[in-house]
Amino acid sequence: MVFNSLTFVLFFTVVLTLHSLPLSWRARKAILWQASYLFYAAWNPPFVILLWVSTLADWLAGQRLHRAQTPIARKFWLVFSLTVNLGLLGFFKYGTFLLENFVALLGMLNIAFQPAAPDIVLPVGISFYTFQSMSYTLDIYKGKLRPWPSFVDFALYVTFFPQLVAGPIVRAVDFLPQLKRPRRIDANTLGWGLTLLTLGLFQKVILADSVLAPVVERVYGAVPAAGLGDAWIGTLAFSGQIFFDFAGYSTCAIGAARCLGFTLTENFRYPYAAVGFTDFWRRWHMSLSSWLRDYLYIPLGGNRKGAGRTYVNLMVTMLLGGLWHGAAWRFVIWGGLHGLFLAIERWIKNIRPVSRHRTSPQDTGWRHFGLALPTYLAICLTWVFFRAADFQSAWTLIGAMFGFSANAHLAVLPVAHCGLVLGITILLLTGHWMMRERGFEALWRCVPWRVQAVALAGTLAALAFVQGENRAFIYFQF
Amino acid sequence: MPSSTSNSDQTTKSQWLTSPWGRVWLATLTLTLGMVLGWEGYWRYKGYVPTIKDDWDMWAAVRRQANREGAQAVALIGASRIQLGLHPDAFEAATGIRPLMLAIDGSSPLPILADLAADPRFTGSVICSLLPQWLADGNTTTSRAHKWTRKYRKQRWSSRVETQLRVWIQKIAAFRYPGLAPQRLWAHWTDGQPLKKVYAPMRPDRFRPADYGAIDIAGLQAARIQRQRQLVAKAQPLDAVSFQARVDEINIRVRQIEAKGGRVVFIRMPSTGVIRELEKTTWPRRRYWDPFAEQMPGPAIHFADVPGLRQFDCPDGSHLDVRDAGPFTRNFVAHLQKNDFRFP
Repeated sequence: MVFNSLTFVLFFTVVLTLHSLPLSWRARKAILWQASYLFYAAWNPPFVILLWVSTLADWLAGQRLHRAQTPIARKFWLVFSLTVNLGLLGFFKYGTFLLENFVALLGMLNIAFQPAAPDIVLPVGISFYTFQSMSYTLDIYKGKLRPWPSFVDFALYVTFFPQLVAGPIVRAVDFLPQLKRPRRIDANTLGWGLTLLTLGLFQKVILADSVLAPVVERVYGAVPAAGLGDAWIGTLAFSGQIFFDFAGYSTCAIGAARCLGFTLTENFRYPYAAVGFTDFWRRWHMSLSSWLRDYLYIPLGGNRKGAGRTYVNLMVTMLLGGLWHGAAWRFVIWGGLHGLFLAIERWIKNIRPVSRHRTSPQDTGWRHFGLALPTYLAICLTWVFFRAADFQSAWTLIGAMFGFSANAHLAVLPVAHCGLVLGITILLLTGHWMMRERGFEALWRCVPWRVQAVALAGTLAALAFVQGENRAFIYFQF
Repeated sequence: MPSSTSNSDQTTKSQWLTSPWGRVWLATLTLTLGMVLGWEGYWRYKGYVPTIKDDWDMWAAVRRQANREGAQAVALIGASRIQLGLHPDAFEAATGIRPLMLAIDGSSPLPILADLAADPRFTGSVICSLLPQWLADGNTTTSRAHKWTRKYRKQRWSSRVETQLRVWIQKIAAFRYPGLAPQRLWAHWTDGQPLKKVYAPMRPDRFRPADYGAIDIAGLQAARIQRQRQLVAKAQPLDAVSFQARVDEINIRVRQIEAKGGRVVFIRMPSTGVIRELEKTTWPRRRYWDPFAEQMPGPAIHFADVPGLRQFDCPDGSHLDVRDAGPFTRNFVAHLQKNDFRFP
């Protein structure tokens, strides 16, 4: 079930109604838990079993790990959790990819091997809920968390429907304590939650799907014909599409949770205003980047084992982060490029005096804007690998972006589309730059209530008018 | 526009306790309602009417209903000619049976006939509209009917709910017509693409009453003739052996349905003017329809053979106007009854 569906409107209305009934907190939590399974079963009911497996494995591992007396026993239960979760992920998400690469490797060794096509269906959101579930066991292993006493609470933490299929990846330490006290729906939670839900849908349905996606599809569907202007406009459009798509989902998720009285982790903080790649990853998909930092980069040694090892750790983290996004080499390249840019940035910071180059949070002047713009353009280049159908298309498009195309500058797109995309990109970058140190709540509070109402009404009316293809959220496939 | 909510409940609550959310949302809903009603009124004034977007989700709902209705079910299969030309209300008035529209625009009905015949849960009857090309042409393999009959069993429960909710909105809101989506309006304003009028809106029962008085009929006729010429240019009329194999296959399907207690009626829906002439020359009746009709165990009615069916003009050359669909349907049922045909 997707947020931009009428089924979700019906589902959410029923859930809100049940959640506001004068039932015990335990009963209302159980309703939310079961509703979350229903939400997930809208895609493919049998895959609910995977949720059960992940939930039960980490519940068991958490309990046993805490009770274990010896380091070996503790490690055993940690490995058990990692094996179950990464095993599910490996089979369903990377099974086909691994097999294809194995066959290709054998082919390079002149060994002919033709296995049957595995035909594995990717369960929606598996990368999100396995990472979320694993973090519980990892936190217990690291001593940051004690096993939670209630199984229903833990199961609700893993399956909570607003963030189940595309994040934010919520940590147990942030979510489980919220289940101690009853959450009630009141005017503030509902008002703010519905506002976020509406604005999130606006980002997804209007900006990502209706305005930018057709431009992106036009360019990336005709890569050999694309000229310099097409390549840039198509890529700028995709940078906007993926942001509005994913940030829109996160905003919806945070809004839906807020309506129910819960607070979810912030996931985006105006990432296109980032000054450098370190700053970008503090602003883009923050719940994943902090997960990778805490459970991969730091355990690998982080920056504590010398300069050389730091670069290796950075690269390994970003390569695996790229692979997390999709079972294809172009995602690995995308992660590798980000790792490379992070390493270069780190190297520059190491060889130049820190005081001249530190990006102060308060400094939003021209010098930093001058750094933010190349950061954004470099990010756009990496998006080409993320979006292109294959390597050949990616290289062709990047070639076109640097003028290595014999086609006319605008061979694919009409001029009106270019103006539209450029206008949206300028607004997006300006908005991010102006908001980079502010919270959206603070801005919303400054707006008179009448203006708030007009903005929300305009958004809702636009959502009612827009129709057509119902595109899935891009991050569902991850 | 990303959200950033604080992790601290205390902070969030204190920030918002004084916000006038009641007023904000009351004003929001009032304004939204006003804008939606205004937009709807504007397009109604421009002559647009509600229409339902046809897709396999819609079709699947009717297909399941055909199984549920058991022996009482009468499925109408074919392409747009029967979807516009056989009026379910008139059929119900004449027979007491509400038919189920399973026709798919632009697609051969033969995969649907095969699906109904092979499905043990379908025990009803079928009225099948066969265009000459579906009967006589080899170039008909990639039809939507193939895909839809394969897919409909896999329809998820959430898709069924979504379809019901969507239909409920589309049947009352003219502005939900895909041709009026802002993307189309943008293309209209920037590229000069004309806005398409809805002359054959689809009802929830998948019948499409066509009002040819509401559109530029000369333009539509020209487009239809051009499309028919393209179809004729691509035509690969079957040789005698292949044609007989197709007839044999249809015969088997008919007998399968009859074995379950149902009946099958074939009808060649009307066409007129240039379209009719093109059909006559490309797929001659004597070579295809007549031998087919002779071999069918049940009725196979060619409109040209029945005075009550050949009297109608097709404004665009191949479809009946809604004002004719009712009389055509009544005459069709009367012809069946005159020949002692009864649905079980």
